Amino acid sequence: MATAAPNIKQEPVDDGDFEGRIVLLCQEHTEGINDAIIKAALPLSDSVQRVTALNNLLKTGRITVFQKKGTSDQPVLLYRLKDEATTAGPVKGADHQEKLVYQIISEAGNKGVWIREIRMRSNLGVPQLNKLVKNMESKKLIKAVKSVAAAKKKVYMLFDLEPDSTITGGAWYNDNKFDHEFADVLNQQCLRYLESKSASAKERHTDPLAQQNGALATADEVHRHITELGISTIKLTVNDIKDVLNTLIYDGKIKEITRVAAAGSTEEGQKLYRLLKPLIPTTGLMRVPCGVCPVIDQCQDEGAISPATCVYLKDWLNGIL
Amino acid sequence: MSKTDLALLILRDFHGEIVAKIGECIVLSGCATVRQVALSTGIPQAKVKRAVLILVQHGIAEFEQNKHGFIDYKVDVNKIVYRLQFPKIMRCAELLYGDPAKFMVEKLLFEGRATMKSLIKTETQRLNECLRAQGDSEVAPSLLEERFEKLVKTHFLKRCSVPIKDARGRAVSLEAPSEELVFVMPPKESGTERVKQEGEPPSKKLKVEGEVDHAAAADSATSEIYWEVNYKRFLQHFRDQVLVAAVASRLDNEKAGEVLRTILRHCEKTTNPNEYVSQPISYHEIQAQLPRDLGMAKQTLEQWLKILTDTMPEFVSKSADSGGGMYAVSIFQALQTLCTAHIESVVEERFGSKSLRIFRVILMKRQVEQTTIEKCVLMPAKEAKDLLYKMFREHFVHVTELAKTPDHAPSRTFYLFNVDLQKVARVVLDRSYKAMKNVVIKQRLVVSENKRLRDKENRKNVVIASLQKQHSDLLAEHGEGITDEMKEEWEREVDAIKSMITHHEYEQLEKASKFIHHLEASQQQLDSTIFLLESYLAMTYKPPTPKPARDPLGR
Repeated sequence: MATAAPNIKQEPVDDGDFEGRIVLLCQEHTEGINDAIIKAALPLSDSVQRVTALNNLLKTGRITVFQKKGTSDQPVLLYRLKDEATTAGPVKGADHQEKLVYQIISEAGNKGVWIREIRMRSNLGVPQLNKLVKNMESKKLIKAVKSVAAAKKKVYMLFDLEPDSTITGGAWYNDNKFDHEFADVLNQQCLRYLESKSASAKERHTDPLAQQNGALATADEVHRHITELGISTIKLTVNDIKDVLNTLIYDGKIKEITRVAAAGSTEEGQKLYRLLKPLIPTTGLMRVPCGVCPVIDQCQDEGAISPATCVYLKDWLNGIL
Repeated sequence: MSKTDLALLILRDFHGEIVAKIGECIVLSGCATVRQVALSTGIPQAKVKRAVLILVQHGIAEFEQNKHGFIDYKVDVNKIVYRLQFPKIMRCAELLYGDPAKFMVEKLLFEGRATMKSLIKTETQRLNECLRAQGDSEVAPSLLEERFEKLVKTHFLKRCSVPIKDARGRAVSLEAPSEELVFVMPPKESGTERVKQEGEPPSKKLKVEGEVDHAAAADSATSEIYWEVNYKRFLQHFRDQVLVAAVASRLDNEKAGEVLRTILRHCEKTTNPNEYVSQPISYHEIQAQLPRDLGMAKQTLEQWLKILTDTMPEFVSKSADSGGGMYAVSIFQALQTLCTAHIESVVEERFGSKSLRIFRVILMKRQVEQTTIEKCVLMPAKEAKDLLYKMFREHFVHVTELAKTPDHAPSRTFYLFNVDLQKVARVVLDRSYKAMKNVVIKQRLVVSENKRLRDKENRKNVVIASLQKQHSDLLAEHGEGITDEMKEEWEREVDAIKSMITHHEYEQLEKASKFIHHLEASQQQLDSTIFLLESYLAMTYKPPTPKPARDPLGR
């Protein structure tokens, strides 16, 4: 772990004393201590004892180890007391297992961690872990958040954290349900904005190039327009609008153009959006009922499903009268 | 498969039951001799011969001597399906070169082939009859001759294949005329230098001598050159029109289309129609060839070209800067884009616009995992999954499995969704053919259901017309002698005949004619889908390139 200790058999020494003194040392040197400092402070110890003591401290989570560049470019290992707030603070008085679970959850940050993952990492049994988690939840140390990725999957995170957008789904999720009406409305509004921009460009300019360029809009402009409309109760970011614009690109209704920044300027190329007119009218196949016919694969000249007896064809023809 | 079904249906419509049956037999067996066809269909050999003769005459069938010395006949299904394009081809000829061209092309389409002389003779007659009926002045055969030459020069007509004969004077196979000759008019004076072309298949001679060729045979011993419609050239023309329409629609401006049309018009002279990218044309040439009545300023043209190359690089690209900029049309890419657009349209209508979004995500990202799709499309993961799998079931999207371990366990495998455009195009094409077949069948059904009524109406019209003629003759003859009473009597007679068809029957007839009109319009629309997909798929097929001869010394 800490140093490559020579593997020599030795009498077991009571090293509780060493551990206590190392902790004291750490408290003195808040920036961390290295092996040399420990050696100087504990002249009686040998390397094996020091290593065992350090390992024990690491295992119980009282100290952490990290690397630092030394004087001669050799990385030096430093030991420091673990932050009281994250380790002992809220779980003071709690037992060892609860501390462990708390640590696992806090490590996961605002992405949260699944109960099965906690179980695997903590090596605790299901009933025991459930009890612990329930207990901590009631103490408001942690909270359970439902993930949008899977309806029944709960993830745990520290109580005061705001869940990550991958868990909540960002602006598009409301009560863990995808708010597709909201997304659709935004989709339409963005399109309408670009449509109006294109129409006004066509009115204002006569030469084709100016018409084309006048129809361009940046994501910022679209964002401003949507904010001014006030259709959203929550605050939308430019990135949210970019998501919506992307769906419009996927719909084939708008086009994205990257304008290259002028030479020498530090700005990145800007992304511009413009309305895209359809290349073709609806294709011929879809103008007859056969295009959308659910049983076209079973349709034969003779048989139960045939063009002569087809109800779709009949209704379609009667529809034109 | 649907294409073959449709082809046989068309064949039946055009040439009747027996020819269709024989056509079917040949199509299904790939190639067959007359004897084999006779055996498997049970039709006497003489009739089979006549049927095959019709097929050869129309360029539908080809023949070749097999290694046993028999003549194998093959049927080209495409040539049959082209018949759906006849109205379009005739209209195109009319628009380009006027009525005389339309008449000649029509004759060639429906008769398969003809010599120039007989064609001009019969068509001048027919055209003049029409003109007389309309009260216009007649035209001279020289006008038709001139139009014919134009059609040949622009490659819309071509020489027919020439039969090759064996030692015993039997035609054993067809040989396409050499490239220098295929679009060349024969010298004006008839004489010895005319290309001698006596050989028609033995069975064919009968018909040719009997009907078409008697005039030619009478005036000179030398047979004439037979001409046929060059479908490929017409198809190329239609293809260019589709490209122009697409550009005009996308840029929402007809002028943009005209710019492309000018480029394409130049390209059709310089570029082989199968080429992926056309020969470049310089800016100055475009400017010079742009129709004057468009009134496009120099600057505007420049701007349109810039817009075309910037926003539609899959259609027009700038290949060099010389000559004010060289522009080329990427025909294959443009077709691919259009094909994608048609398929997208199918997806949108069949599965909904949400599915189209998913479909396009896959198209744009090429290989994509399900989770990525769900993230991109801004809809509930469950819905996205549902729509995606629906498309998968109908073969519109495909899956590539990428196993991390050799056991292909699903949990350790990436499933990447992708779209194989060609496969989907084939699926859609087959459906389109099926739809076309269904529409044709339905139309025929409507016609036959109302046959009795239509006949009745025709009879009524004939009777009324003859009565009215009779009356007007009487009126002219006796003049003042006709009293008003007699006139009233006549009117009552006409009314009595008119009432032969009841109000209900009249409504029924109206309805039927509307149906037929609608079904015909649908056929044209379906044809546009089929045409584009076929053009695209034809270009994706690359004949295997012959391996370059290896240098024996390995240099």
